[in-house]
Amino acid sequence: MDNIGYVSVARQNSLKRELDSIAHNIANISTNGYRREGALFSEQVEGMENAEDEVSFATLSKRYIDLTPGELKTTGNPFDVSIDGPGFFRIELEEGQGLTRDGAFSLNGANQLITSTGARVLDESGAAITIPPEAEQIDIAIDGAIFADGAAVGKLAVVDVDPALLSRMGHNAFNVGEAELTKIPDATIRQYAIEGSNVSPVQELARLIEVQRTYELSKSVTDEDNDRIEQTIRTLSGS
Amino acid sequence: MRALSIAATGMDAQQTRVETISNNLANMNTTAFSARRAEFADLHYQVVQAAGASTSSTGSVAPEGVQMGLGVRTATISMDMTQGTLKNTGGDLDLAIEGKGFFEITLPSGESAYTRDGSFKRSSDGLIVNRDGFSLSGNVAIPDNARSITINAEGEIYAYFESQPAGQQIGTINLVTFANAKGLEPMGGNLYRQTEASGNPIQGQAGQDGIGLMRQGYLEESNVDVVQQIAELIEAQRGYELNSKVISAADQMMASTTQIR
Repeated sequence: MDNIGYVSVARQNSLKRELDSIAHNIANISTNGYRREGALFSEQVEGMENAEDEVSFATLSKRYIDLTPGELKTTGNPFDVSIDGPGFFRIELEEGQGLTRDGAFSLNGANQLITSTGARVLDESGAAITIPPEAEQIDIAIDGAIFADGAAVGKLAVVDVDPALLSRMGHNAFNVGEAELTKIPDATIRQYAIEGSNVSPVQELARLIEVQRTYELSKSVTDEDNDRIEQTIRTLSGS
Repeated sequence: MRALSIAATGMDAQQTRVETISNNLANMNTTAFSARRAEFADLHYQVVQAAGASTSSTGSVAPEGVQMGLGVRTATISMDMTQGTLKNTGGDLDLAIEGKGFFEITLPSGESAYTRDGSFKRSSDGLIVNRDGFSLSGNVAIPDNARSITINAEGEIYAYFESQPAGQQIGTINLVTFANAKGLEPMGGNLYRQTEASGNPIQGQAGQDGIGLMRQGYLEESNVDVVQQIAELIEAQRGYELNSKVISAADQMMASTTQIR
């Protein structure tokens, strides 16, 4: 049983998946609050039939979510908020507790604070936040308290969760199911600023080149192996 | 190879951004134009390996799963409702709203439309109409023999007649507000239509209940910040290039696959 071909095919497969992940990061380079994903490979060891030797394949075992903060971009919209530091805003999801870093909020027809994809933003007690329609001046304090013309109308919840429990939902949201959320009491909220994506173009481009070259290398291993087999056959058949 | 289609969604998003920016720049001199901003959200994720999948017969489970992202989509193109600069024009029917609020215009169909463009004119029968000839709701007629009119900050219209030193109130221009003005649907012609998202119009007088003040002789300029738009344009252009790099990388990888001997 010849393993070289299969080992390099396994490698090529996982490289393709890594390319998909790079493509996804680059596609989301302008997505507010997007967290880039990284890929981790692990060795999958298979015993060989009759020898003590083992052969190892590389597989994509896990994609991790890179939680480094993105850059803050200032805007003129009072409902543009960002978290300066760790943590997430709580939002309402049908599937479970939702979290997001995308702070480009607006209001719906019922005066409730919603995200850019339409999910309601929740306060610390898990209720939607309603802004009085006649409010002229909206101030969001550094701790997330919202004031309409000076009167407190609610407080944005900033929570943290075990990163291993974050599951991506699309719509800039993470679903954390029933996981326990911990409040971050000293979170810093910045009004008139939104957090961009934390994808670094240079880093992704470097990864892209690396994947491309490794793929070529792995392909040339297949080619070399092919030559080797061909040569062996030719030598043994005496032609 | 998903990378090709993922990068295509990325190029699509950057293109939407360039289109939004070009519309903003094209309207930088449009009265009371609100700049738009394209906002994006990641597409849904395909679960390749679910977190919690069992990894052995003894009950151990994968602590984390593999979720494959599928790209990006445009979530909204939101309107920037910040105040534009007021420009002095001196026209007696040039009105600007300083603060929240919209003028209500009655379309020929009888439907209402809303605008912040206050460059009104007088029609042949004395009604106040917008530049397309649609009348301002309230149907205030300006008498032919009025020497001049003034409109105060609360929207009350006073007409002055020959030989009468005191002005006479002939009507009021009311404004409307919306719970979510960003939810209005642009109709072109500087007009907006109410939608489910914007909520129902709330009638009120200028200067009351959080509604802005009216300024006669001024027009509101667009709130497009040219420098910011150009900076975003550069960003979008580079983002587009970066996505096309992914496409060419994926293409080369596929090409080398087909060449495996």
